[in-house]
Amino acid sequence: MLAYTRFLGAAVLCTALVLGGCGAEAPDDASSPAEDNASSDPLTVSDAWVRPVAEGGVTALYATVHRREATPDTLLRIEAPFSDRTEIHETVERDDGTMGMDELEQGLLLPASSETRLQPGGLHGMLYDANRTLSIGDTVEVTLHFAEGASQTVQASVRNTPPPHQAP
Amino acid sequence: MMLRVSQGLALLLAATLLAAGLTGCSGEDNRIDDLSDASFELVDHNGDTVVFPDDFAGQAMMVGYVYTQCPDICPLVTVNMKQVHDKLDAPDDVAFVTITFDPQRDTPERLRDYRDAYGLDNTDWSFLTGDRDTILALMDRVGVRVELSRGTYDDDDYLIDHTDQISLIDEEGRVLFHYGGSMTPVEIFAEDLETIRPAS
Repeated sequence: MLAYTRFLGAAVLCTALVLGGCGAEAPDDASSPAEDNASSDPLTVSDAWVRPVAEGGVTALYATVHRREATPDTLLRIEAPFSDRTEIHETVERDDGTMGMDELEQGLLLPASSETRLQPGGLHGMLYDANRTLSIGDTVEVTLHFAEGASQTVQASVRNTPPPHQAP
Repeated sequence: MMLRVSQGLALLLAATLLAAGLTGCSGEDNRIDDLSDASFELVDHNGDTVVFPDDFAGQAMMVGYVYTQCPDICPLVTVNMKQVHDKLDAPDDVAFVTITFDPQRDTPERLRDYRDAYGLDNTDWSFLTGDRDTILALMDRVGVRVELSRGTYDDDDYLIDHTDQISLIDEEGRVLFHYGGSMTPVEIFAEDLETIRPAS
C-alpha cells in the first residue's frame, strides 16, 4: 500500500511538473507563443540533442522549433547522415496506463508565431538503424525539412539529459 | 457555530483516519509481492546465465524494464536509474538491474552495446534477457504489461506499448515499491532505497 502511495505521490509531483511546463506535453500543449528574441529568421531550431545509441539501434531527436511567421508550417521530415529511416513520433499514455508511441504521419503542425518543443516523454524524432555508435559527448548533424520549403540543419549533441537552453 | 464545530470534528476525524491508514501501511504489510519463491533463468549482457532474483540475494535491487528499440520512455527509465546509481556512488549493497521485455531483438550483444552507449560499461549493472516465455512470465509477475502497437514479431520491425515502471526489491526478494519509471524524481528513489539497503 505504501508503494502505491509513493507512486501516487510521484504522479502528483509529476503532474505538478507538467503543469509547471517541465513534463511531457501533447502537441497542442507543446506549442506556445514565440518569445521575443534577437533572431528574425522566420523559422529556427534550437536546443537540439539526441540520445546515445549503439550501432543498429534507434535514437530520439529533441529540439525546439521556433515559428515566427503569422502563418503555420509543418515539420515534415528529419534527415541525419547516420540514419536512413526517420519518423516523427509522439509518446502517449494509453487508456490501460501503458506508454506507447504514435507516428505523426502527416508531420508536426507548427502554429503561427509559436515555439514547439520536441522533448522527452512527448514529441520526438525517431532515427532508426544508426549506422554507427553515438556516444555521450559526440555531436551529429540533423536537418529538419518543412512544408513551406525551408530546411534547417543544426548540430545536435549526444546526451542523456537536455542541454542548457540556448538562444535560437 | 455548530456547523463550524461539526466541520472541525469531521476534519479531525478524517485526519485521524488518514494517520491510522498510513501507520497501517508500514512494516511487513509493505510488500507488493514476495519473489523469494520465484526463479527466472535469464541471460545477462555477457551471455552468462543469471537466476533472478536468486543471484541478487543479499542485495537490495533497483529494477527497470525496457526495450532497446524504445528511444524515449525507456531511456528516461535508464537515465533515472543511472542518476540514482551515481547519487549513491555505486553502492555494493544495491544491485542495478535492467530487464528487457523484447527478448526477440534484445540479445545479450545488443544489451551490451546499449549498456556501453549509456556509459555503464564500467559498472556492475546487469542487463538481462531470456527466452520469450520466461520473460513474459517475469513481466506478468512484476506487473509490467507488454503489447505490440505496430508491426508483428515476424518482421522484427515493431513497436511495443508497455508499463513504465521501476521496482525496488529488498535483499530477501520482497517487492516493496513500484514507481512510474520515467517520471519519478531521483530523490524519492534514493530516499526509499536508503530504507531497504542491507548496509543501512
